[in-house]
Amino acid sequence: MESIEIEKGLPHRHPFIMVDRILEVEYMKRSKGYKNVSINEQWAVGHFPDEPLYPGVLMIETMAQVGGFIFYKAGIPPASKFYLGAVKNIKFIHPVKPGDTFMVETELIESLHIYHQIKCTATVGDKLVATGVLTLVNPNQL
Amino acid sequence: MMENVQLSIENQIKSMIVAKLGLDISPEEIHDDAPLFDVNDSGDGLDLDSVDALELAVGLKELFGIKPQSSEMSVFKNVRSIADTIRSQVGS
Repeated sequence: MESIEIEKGLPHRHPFIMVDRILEVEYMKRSKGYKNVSINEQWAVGHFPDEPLYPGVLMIETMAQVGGFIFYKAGIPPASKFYLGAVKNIKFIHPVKPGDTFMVETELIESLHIYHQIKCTATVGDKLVATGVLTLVNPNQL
Repeated sequence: MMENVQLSIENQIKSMIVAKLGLDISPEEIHDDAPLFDVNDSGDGLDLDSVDALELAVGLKELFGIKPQSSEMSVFKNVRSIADTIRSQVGS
């Protein structure tokens, strides 16, 4: 799934689309996608001037956006809007730098009512860089 | 004997709640009938929020292999109501 199609599955728009490509989706089970981290992004100016590092909060956002595709079914517009409900046990294991491909795999742990808990694992190459558990909230399910 | 089994389930639920939600209390401080998502007139209750309910559902699935359905949110009223549901679903 390329950028144009990603916009069908995500309510986010420039400058807050934090995923470049979705590779795999198993509806209500798992998803996999990545962001190509570039020096040509706004955060790189200040985080940090002498050592540009992809900010941890944006790693969480990439995880959440890739995770949102667990609930994506092709051909069923419009995509539901999910909100971030909880962030748990997030670990940033290795720094992520411009030039890296930040690969995220997510799987649905449990759903209850409008709440969905997903497990996220992020890698750069074969190196584990971040892990965590997010809760996504879909008020449209009410 | 039956009472021991019931106590055991309730205590397991209390320990799970404290561990899963990182509460700064001991499991023994949670009363079986104290509201989980509210505080009653006598000041008893955990006053949890709705995001915590999902955390409890995950914990129940890990502990007992079952979880209440979205339509059965009343199950989460208190520890006793959760334990009663577990007992009815596992048939013990």
